[in-house]
Amino acid sequence: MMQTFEISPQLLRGWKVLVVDDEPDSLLVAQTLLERCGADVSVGTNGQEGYEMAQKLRPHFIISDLSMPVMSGWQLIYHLKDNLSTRDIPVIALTAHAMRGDRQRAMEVGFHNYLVKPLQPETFINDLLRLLIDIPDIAEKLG
Amino acid sequence: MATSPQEIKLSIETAERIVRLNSVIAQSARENEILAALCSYAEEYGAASAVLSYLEIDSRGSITDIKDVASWKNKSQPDTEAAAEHLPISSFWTSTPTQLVFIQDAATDTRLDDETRKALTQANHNAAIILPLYSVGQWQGVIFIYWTEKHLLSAEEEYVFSAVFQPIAAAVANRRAYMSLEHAQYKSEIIAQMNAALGQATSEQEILDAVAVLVERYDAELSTLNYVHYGLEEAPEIIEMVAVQNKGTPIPLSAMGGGTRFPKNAFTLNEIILSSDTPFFMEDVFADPRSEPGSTRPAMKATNVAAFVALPLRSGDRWQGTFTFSWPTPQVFPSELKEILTAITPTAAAVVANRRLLNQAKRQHQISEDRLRTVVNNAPIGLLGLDKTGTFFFSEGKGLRDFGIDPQDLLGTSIYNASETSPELVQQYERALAGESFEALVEVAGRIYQGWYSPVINDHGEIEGAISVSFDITDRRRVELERERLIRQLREASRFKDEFLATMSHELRTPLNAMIGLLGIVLMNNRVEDQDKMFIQRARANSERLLTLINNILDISRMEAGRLEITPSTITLRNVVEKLQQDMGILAEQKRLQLTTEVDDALPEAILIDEDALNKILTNLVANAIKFTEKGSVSLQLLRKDESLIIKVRDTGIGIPIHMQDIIFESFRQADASATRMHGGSGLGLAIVQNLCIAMQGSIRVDSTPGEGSTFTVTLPLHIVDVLEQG
Repeated sequence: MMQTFEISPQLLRGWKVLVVDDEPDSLLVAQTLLERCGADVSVGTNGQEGYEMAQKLRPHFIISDLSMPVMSGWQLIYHLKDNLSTRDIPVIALTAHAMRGDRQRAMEVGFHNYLVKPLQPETFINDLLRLLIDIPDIAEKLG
Repeated sequence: MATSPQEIKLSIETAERIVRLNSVIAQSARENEILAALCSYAEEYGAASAVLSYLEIDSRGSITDIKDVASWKNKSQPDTEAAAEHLPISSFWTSTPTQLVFIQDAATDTRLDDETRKALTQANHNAAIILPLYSVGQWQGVIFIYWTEKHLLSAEEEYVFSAVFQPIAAAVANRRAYMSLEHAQYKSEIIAQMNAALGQATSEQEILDAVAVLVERYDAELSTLNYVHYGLEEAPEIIEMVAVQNKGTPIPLSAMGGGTRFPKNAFTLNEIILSSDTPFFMEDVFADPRSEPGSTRPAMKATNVAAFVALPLRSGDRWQGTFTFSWPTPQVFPSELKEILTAITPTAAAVVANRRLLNQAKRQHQISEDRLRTVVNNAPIGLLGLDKTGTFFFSEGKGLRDFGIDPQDLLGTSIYNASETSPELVQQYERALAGESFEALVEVAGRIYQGWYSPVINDHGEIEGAISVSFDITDRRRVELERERLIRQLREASRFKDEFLATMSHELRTPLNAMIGLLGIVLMNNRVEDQDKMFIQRARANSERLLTLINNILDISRMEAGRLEITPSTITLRNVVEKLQQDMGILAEQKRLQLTTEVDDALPEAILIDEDALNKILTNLVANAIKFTEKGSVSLQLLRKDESLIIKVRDTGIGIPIHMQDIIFESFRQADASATRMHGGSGLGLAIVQNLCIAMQGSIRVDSTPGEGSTFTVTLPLHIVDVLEQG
């Protein structure tokens, strides 16, 4: 039976979440949905910003777009995994790239999992947390 | 009228003369020398001419024939008459074989018979001495010495002639005995020479010449045409002249006015001759009963032939041809000639047969060589052969000429001349000379050649050289390059399309993401008026519809481009169904339909399957069922049947008429065009599902009763994941 999380401002209270996307509206949707659950959301508009913020903020997890100017999601994951201080942060790809094979490729290069845009606002938080629950630290933090 | 030596007074000179004459006679080998020696005295006594003749005798000793073998004329006497001839055979002189006969005055001599007298006076012989040559008990010959005037014989003359005629008879007897011995030897020598000459002949003309030389030796009058003619393989009834000569001079066949071919049965005798195994001698065409007047004689007359010899040449049982020698006048052929010709005929036949075989072989060889040359010369290839030093010994082919090389110019030149200009080519030949057989592309002066290279290996397994066959494939190569370019272009176009699809997918989803997300958030915030809420819900629903449409179009584009890839991964069926129940439950609820899902317990927990494809199949089928059902229920069942996963989606909707049940799987088709307007959707869903099923080695079918509902059944191969492996 799939686990369902009750959406409430307490659900992600105290969580530091980094969202990286070059589309302001996409950022807005994800940020809004996460903040509704009490998360402390930081945003970056490309991979470069995302990488710097990840080192500075050490978020509990990162949601990143793949296609971005300056530094793409693919480059970002490479740098994050290459850096001792950031390598253990789970990163979920959230992308409008729905081509077959992208998911596989994303998992291979180090993304923890992969969500396809457009996200479903009603189920987004549950979809997201179900992908993260297999990480012991996160499962523990979710109780 | 004999005079005894004692009765005359013999001078010393005369005695010496007789001794000398006897000595000359003893030493002389030939009849004309004997006669000349005798007549050196007769000349002094005023004789005009003389003749020495042989006498032929039969077994009883009777004279049967007389033949002149030597003659003499007194050059100091202006006698223009022909050479002296023998007198008729007459008892007048044959009855006294041991005595000289003197005729002092032919006109008045009463002993003479009329025939003898007539012969003497007609030849203007008015006096004569007849010397009988009788020895070893038989006639050998006779000498006649003639005077033009009456001649009174002196005692000395009588003595001299009486003293020498018997030694002469002995000499002639010896000579004849020797001659008959020599004759046999002579003949065999001639035959041997002939055979040798025939054996050495290298052409029909030489074969003919060898035989003609012999025939000419026996008859200086040899004339008109001599020819060998052959029956032709392709037309055995045809005779063809292959060599002609006239009195030792070869005559070109082209000069034969009547042509060189004529039918075997041109005249009757010809067929008889050609079927004969032995030489055929015709001494007088117009008198011989064998040449019949109706056919042969006119034919012979037309070609001015009065006598001929034909040697039919047979080898085994095959007629090879004939030698024909002809004369314009009737002839008496010497027996010697007949014997020799008969003797050499088998050899001549064998030589001619061998010659014909050789000609035939040469002709066939020539034909096959000509054919080969024709093929090689016209083949659009370059055929080259070089020895182990790299020198070309063979160079042929239209390909070379097309390249601008006269193949003959290459002969004797070295491949190493091309070291600078075509090092690649030199390399290929070096490989072949090293024993390698291979195929290679070589570029020479802007043209591309495909060549097969191979060593030439002799019977001892040694490499003697190398050969190559090359084709100019420049044009083909250009076509290939063009094709490769087109393929590259198509691939690029296809890649652009893929990129375009990916970009479109990305670009269409990005604004939809914002629309669906933000509209959803507004609804979740629950702060809008009921009517506005309904508008926002409709906006949201349309956004979803747009998303589905985009997804379907992208899917079908990929499928139609053959770019549908199935990438199985391990999934848990129950999770998939639960998620579906969740997503689709909302839609069902909106239409107040009951959505039930069931997963067969016989199905394993985890299976290996393409998750996206499975999701699309389930989502499309369930969404369709909900879409076309107004009341009742929709059920999803996942069942196991042997090694198959069965997916059943059942509804209580409008159903599909039987005649439409096939076309609903085609792109952009719905059972009823009006359904598109009523129910929305692109009509792509089922096409996508069917494509996915086929790609996964599965199938889909529909059972439906209009007005009662439809059941879609998908059968997919079941790949169970080993639990251990899964762990």
